[in-house]
Amino acid sequence: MDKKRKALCLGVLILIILIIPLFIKDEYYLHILVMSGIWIISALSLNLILGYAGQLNLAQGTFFGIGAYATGLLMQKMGLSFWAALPLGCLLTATIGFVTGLPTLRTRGHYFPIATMCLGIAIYYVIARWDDVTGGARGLFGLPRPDPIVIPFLGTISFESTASCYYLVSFLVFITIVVIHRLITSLSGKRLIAIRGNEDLAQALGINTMRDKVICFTISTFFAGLAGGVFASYMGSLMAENAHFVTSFEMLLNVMIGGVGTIIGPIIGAIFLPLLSEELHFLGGWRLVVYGLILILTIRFLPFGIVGGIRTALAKRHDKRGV
Amino acid sequence: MGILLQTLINGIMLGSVYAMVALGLTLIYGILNVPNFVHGTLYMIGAYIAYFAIVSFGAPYWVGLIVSLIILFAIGILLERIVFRPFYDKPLINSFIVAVGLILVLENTALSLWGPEFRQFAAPSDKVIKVMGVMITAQRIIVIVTAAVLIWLVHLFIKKTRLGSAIEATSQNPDGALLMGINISHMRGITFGIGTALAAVAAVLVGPILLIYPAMGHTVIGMAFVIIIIGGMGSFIGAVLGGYIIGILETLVTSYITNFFTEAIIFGLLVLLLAVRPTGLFGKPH
Repeated sequence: MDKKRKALCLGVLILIILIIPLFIKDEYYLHILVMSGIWIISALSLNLILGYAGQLNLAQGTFFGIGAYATGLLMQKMGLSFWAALPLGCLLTATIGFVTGLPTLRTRGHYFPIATMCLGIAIYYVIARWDDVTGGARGLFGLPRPDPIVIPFLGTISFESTASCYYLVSFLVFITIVVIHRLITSLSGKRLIAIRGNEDLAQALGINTMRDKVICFTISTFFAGLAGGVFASYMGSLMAENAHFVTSFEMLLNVMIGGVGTIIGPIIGAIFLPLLSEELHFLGGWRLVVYGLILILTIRFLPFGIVGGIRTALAKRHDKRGV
Repeated sequence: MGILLQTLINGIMLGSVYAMVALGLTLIYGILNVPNFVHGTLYMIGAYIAYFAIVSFGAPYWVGLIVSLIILFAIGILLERIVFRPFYDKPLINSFIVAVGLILVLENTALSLWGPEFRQFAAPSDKVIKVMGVMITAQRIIVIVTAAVLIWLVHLFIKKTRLGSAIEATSQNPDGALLMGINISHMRGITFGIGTALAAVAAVLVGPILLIYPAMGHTVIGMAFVIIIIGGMGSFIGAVLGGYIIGILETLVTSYITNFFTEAIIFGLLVLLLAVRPTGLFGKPH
């Protein structure tokens, strides 16, 4: 596809995303789209460390929780505006990511998922039991929506409606995609893929694998924190369960079913699964059982998810034509 | 003194449970090379099966324990055969994710069928024994003794029987074992069954003391991984000793330091340990 057509497609896509709220009048579906946006950011963050650097971080949901609690507490206890609390929350998450990434990333193979799972459990218990600060098991309530932005002479943008939150989340999704896309197409992205392929070999080629892994881990926790911070302000309340490894599992589902190691895959997963979840609402608690089965079957028969499946199908058609 | 002794006995009891769960986990790791994240969930299923045998069908405690042991042994063999076997020659990450899928399936099945409420079944004996000014319930003694006997039996099984030796051979060198005519697939299935049955027995033993609920395996599986990392993944003696050490340590921290951040402290210590020694205390370097 040449550059012009690519730009055109992108333009049309952005236009569709911009006008969607004009057509969807049902607040509830708009709400699902906002949630999809938040899941897209978090799925892309997990995909960065899992899909490109090849490290299964089972604490990613916990970093989502750290970002959520940090943003929420900065607004509620320190009285900061959302626009100050969100970046600070992300920076705090990334700092904790950096500090905890240093020890955990020293481990390899089987040890890394186990180490991060233990890290996640440790942080979860701190959040769930630190009553004075996080509200403990009761959770955190009454978090404000983002403060209105005043633009001189034009008026103010408030974030009370779901549609305005939709635009805010779409903007943040856009930023996330741009940053992560730049990162993985850069030289350091190539180095990450080399580490995923064979870490010893990458090291032998002179790549400082530890440095690259730590940088990747820190950036991925930054975006997990971003998703969490937006979640906190949009939902208005938090539970300790938001920082549990169940949240990591949910991210993992989005990434794996969409297609790990691609940008579009986690996006598809994070849009498709919440919609599927609506369709499966009648199942109640059995919904997650179905999810688990879908996950197992996906890994068994479509290890690279929906995107991988489409690619294989296209390649087959291409081959047939060639013959 | 009385409090310390009481704490130590509780610690040994908790350690017995951890030792059994970690032993199952380490056996499975040794032979399948898979960190079995589902282990804690199967521990939970084991407790529920005993609960229904004892409370719904009125079976005696020991019958409930044996029923749970047999059913979980079979479930272990089935899971290995149906779910894990297709992934042995695939990248490592696939079997992790399959395990995550299984956790979702099993735990939410339990939640949907049996609800989130806490359950408990009665101990076979509610006697309380007084030793040196310390009150010990009979169930605590049952846990400690049964666990010790069972661990000893597993040890004898591996060291003294043909089947056990075949399992040990497979864990040491699968290719060599294959050349000696050992059916590796069978060994994997049987080991998965034994490991799972051990977790089930541990759950049934503490059933009368702790509570039964769908998420009961979360912390236990975390602790079991802490233990086998400290003891060396795949090491028999490491898992058993590590289990007792962590159990006693956890009770001591809870009684003397804080009962709010015990888990955070232990899991945090593990992360620090891995920072210093990325393959655990007794693990071989990469």
